Amino acid sequence: MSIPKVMGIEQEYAVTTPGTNLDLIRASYLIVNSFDRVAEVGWDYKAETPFLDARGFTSEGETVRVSRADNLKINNLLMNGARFYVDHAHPEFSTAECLKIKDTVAFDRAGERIITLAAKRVMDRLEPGTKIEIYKNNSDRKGNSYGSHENYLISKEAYHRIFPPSSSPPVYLLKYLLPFFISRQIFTGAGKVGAENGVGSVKYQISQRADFFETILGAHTTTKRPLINTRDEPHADRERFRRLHVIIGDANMSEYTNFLKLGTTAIILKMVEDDALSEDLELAEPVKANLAISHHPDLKLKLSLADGRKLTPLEIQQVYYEQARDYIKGKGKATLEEREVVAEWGKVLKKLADDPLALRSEIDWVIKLWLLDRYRGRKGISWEDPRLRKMDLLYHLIDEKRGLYFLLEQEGEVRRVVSEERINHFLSHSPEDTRAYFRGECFRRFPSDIVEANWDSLTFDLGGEKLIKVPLPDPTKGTRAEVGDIFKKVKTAKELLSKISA
Amino acid sequence: MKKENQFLRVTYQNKEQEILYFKDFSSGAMIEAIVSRAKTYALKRLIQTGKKGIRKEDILQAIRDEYKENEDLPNTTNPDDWTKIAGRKGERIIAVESLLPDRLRKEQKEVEEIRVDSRYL
Repeated sequence: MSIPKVMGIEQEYAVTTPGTNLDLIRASYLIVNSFDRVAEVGWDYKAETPFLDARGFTSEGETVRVSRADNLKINNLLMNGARFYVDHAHPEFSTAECLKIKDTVAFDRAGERIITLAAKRVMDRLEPGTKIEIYKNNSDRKGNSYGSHENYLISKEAYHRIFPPSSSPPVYLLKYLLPFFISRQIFTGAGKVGAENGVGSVKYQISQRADFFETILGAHTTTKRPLINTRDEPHADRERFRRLHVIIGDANMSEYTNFLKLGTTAIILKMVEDDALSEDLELAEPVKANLAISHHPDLKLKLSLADGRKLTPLEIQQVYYEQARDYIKGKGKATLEEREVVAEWGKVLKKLADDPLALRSEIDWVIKLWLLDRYRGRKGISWEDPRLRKMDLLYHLIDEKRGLYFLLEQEGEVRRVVSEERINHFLSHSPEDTRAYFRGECFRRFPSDIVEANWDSLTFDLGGEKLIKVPLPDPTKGTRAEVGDIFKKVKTAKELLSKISA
Repeated sequence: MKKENQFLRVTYQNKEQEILYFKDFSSGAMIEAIVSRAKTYALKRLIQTGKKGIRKEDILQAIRDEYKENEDLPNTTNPDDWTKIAGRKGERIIAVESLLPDRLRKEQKEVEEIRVDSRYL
């Protein structure tokens, strides 16, 4: 039985400080600490299990231990239920848990605005001339790739279908799910000039990140990067739920691309839960196929399947699309958004087959390609010209005056999916239809009573001998419908806790 | 040798006890880390209030936070490791007790997890 697809995006932003004597790590700390802090709420690292592997073993690593002062310096937990923090050497924005696909898109965009506001505050306070630039992409062009990760709530049973114990091969994953994740880049890729990481050469490719994947399965995200991440950290009740941590996607500027990426993936995962994927599309060489698709933006490449067939990435997507269309059609409870996703998915595949440039307002890699081609034609320059790499970067610059995507948006050249109003709403409000509502309301009403938080818990200090930890085991609960009235009735955190206790 | 700078009480095999101070654990790396912390705190204040410069309170806070972070390194379950760091000769250490004041240890208050009503959460 499929369950609601609560989802979220973790975006790692790249920071540069051109011509400024401010190192990047310090810049990251300053940015994260420059957006309005709700209260002195730290991140609860004790609640995390980053080393459990979905295949039933524990990988090596050290758990994070930080002092409270450092914890508060690294983490800024926001009123909207999001986590804004320093991850290694860059700022990262994790959206709150969203239920609607478009809300996730809008929240991700709110993240762009939050980091912009924060960076502006840093620049205003430091010496004149201090310059901080923020990029939402996935490569620094110096061999480092960083992620734009998606998270989806799935049932424990479906998760184990995808990840059997390490003693058995992940047959279901290879046959029914991995080909989707590898081929979806034809409409989710953010595009990139050239190749890197020593994987061959190409003028322009579909994906930002394809050059960096080395293996099929693994718990890591930064070394020996796997197509499918096996980190078994549900951030919810382990008896019922799992979180699929998807690291194979690109950072999307286009709302439409992001909508299609999240929407198609959410539907496919519901189909895994309902065991509704029946077409075996196992690829002979998944890691190579992932790279090869990206390096063939003409979409004509034929991929070898394990059973000997040869299919293009478009043909593979067509098989998924048709299964999803029939699944949604036969499902009385499908949401309006799901129906919209399926309709758009079909249209996009048709346009990719007929004339990809027809998607120059919708799909990131096509928008970027169109932009670069126009510029190339005007200047009469070749693909190797360094100005094109610069433009590639500028497409992802989070700056409404200079960022190329933002300029296209202002000129009405790209298709919007969410309203300005909804994006701005999420600057200070959490979604009302997930447990993020409970977290956000607690932050709003009782900020000084909360000492630590994680996705699935809030820890209160009510002055007693012990701290009180409130578990949030179900991401679909704690919504306005369930706890809105309780918040209206209680005046203190203590009253709240007594109302929600079993 | 003020009380507020006490870091650990160690008990040797012969039952003798000794108090170790922050200074007993200082090193070049630690001093560098403290300076870096102090700079960050000063920058943070600059961002929040517009006031420039590193202050005494930044240094003091940096020292406390640095020691707080290092409190359980090496692990107290193996007291012998402490001898290597502290450089005391010969005598075996059988117990180590942290003397950090409560204000540095707030997050170590015991945590009680409550059961929540599944109608709501």
